[in-house]
Amino acid sequence: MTAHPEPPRAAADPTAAGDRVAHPRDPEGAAAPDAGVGAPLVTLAQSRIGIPVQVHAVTGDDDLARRLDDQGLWPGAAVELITTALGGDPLLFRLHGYRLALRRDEAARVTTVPLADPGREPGA
Amino acid sequence: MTANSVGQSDPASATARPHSVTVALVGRPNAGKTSLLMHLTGTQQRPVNFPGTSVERAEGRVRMGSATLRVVDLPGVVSLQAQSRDERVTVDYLRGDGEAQPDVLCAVLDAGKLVIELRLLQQLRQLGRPVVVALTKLDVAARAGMPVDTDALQRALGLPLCVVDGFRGKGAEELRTVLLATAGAAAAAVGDDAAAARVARAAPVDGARRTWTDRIDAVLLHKALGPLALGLVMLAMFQLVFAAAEPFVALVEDGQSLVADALRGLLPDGALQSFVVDGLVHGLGSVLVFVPQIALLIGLVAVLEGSGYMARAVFLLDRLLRKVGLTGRSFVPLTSSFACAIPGILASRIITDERDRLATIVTAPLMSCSARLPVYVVLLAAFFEPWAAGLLLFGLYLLGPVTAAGVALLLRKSVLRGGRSPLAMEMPVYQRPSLRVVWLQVWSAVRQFLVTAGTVILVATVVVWALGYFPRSAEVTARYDAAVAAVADGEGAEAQRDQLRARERAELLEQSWLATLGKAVQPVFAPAGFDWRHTVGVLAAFPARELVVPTLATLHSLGDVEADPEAPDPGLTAALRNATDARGRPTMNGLVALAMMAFFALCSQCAGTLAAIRRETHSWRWPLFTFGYMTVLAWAVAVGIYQIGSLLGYGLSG
Repeated sequence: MTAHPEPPRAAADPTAAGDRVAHPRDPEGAAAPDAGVGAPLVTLAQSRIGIPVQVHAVTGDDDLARRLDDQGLWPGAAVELITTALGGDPLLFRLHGYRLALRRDEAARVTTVPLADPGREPGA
Repeated sequence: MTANSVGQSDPASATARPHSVTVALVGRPNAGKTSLLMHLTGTQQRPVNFPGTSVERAEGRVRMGSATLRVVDLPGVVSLQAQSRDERVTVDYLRGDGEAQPDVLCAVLDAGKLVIELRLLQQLRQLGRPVVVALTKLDVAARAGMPVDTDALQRALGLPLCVVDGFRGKGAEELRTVLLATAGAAAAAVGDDAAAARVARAAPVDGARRTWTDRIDAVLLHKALGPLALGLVMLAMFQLVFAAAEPFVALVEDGQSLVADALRGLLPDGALQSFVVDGLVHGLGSVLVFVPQIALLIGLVAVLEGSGYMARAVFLLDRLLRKVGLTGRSFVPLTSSFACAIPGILASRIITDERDRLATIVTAPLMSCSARLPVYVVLLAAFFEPWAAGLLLFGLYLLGPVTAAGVALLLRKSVLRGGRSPLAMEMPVYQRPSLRVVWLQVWSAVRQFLVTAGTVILVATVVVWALGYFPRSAEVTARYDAAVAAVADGEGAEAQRDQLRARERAELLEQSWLATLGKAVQPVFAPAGFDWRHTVGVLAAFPARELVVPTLATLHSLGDVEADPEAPDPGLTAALRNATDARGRPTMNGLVALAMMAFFALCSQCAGTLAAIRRETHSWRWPLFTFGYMTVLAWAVAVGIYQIGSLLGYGLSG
């Protein structure tokens, strides 16, 4: 194991969304929110405390991607950073009414877009 | 062990009873499954191994009219895509791999986070079994500003649904009836998940009310206060374990000497008496004496786990543990290992990545378990001032984790390179731990310790006894018999006879196979300053380290010395201080004691631990590796301490 480098600042090859894990969609069938043409995708690792974002996609197709999916990081899910541990890693998020701890490199696997209407659950 | 050894109403023997229904409790971690099991089946739970594995599950059964409800509590899963060992056995069981598929699945769902819970339910529906939903923590959800409309949810799901209070057990009665009625019903159909999701929708992410958990986390996960609080919690935990276990340890020891004395009176002098008293009873006592500390520490860990705090500890320590080649989840196994490495090694199953798990397993025995304490206490009391003894004891306890960090790092950079367990861990809401769940965990750990240690340590103790007892020299026995008979009655006669008998024991031990072996091996330990008697003690401690104190005591002609951590025998401490070799030079001083303590802190001297590693890794490779590296490391550190100390002028000849 090596010390993990800082997550890529803009993980954001928009085509990355193409190889995201195949999974059953959000129960209501919400598609991945459109990031907008040319809008930069930021990862969950770049979230700021108290500012909710919306999941765009989980990149990659491996055990970790499946685990992130199992833990509720579906396209459209609203996620908010609560706090981080000393040194900024791991991070604690709130989503679907529960709390989830992710390492910084795990959170970097999740691309996000700004939450359009912060007052409502996306897709409602 | 198979499930059939558990009871009479397993499917195989179900013909004897009219009707037996097996229910599996499935849910995400922290859903309250174990607590629900208690309420469903009363006090009739027992830990049972999954067939062919050493992973345990709790099972309970309850009679309902002519039927028997058998309820199986499975380790928590986040999905049916298993990643850790715990998850794999759960998923195998649910799919009917290895034993009969359960008749009914009871999905235990936490109302506080229904959206994510429904995801698991969706997968459970596809297993081809009837599903009943048990909805827990409805009150928590309401308090967090996310009330659940249970009628609408039931309509949307199209499944039987019961609301249960996991803590008080309200609703368990109804759930039992529903579970029994659902057995034999058609498999759960795929429901209207979209409708259910609409009912379950969590409150907006920033609209949820600030709960108690948020307020407590503001302190316990605070950048400065959080680590401080963790340190205080750990400190308090160890203080409590040592302080509170003491009376129970004394009780076990008193009981042991009571039984030993009684048997000594009943059996004739000779090999049989010595075998039963010094071999069996002593072996049994040396196993039981650890139960109080193990039960207490595991109980406290279970309380912290049940309250939700352990997940916070993992969160706070993950970065640090990752730096040294472990993972945040190694924290609980390593903490348990301070009581005994056996439950610690078994607790490593929660670690997903095999390399992380192996690194945790082979470093767990480096933590100073309760069996090392008596050695430290005797040697510290003999050679150090109280203030220095306290500091050194702390240092010896610190030696474990520090060495473990180095070893884990080396392993993860060499043979165990690559791979890493994800954290991706739910942080549960704080709650009052259920004492019955805590008790179940304690009993499970104690049972695992007794099964492993009870067999292996007992056998090892008897073998060491035999090596130390045979061959008996008739000449020595006759000589001392005559000497004892020659003691004139009068004041002090009894003490004089005891002294003679003790010297006889020492002389016999000196001629035993164990001593022959010790003298042969002594050159290996000479660079660490050990004389042949210390070497015999070290060798006797290899199967189980608790044997060292009594062995050293016998060799120093003291007869029976109890390994009491609180009150080290003044006779032994004085004898160790005053022991001399054939030419009258002292054989031990503070430096030798320090080298010896470091040796005991690092050496792998527990057959039970190695047996547990063998079982958990399914190969001889890792137990042999653990034994090898710890023994070499212990020897090297002991030699290093003695040699450097000698250069500084603290050696025996100096």
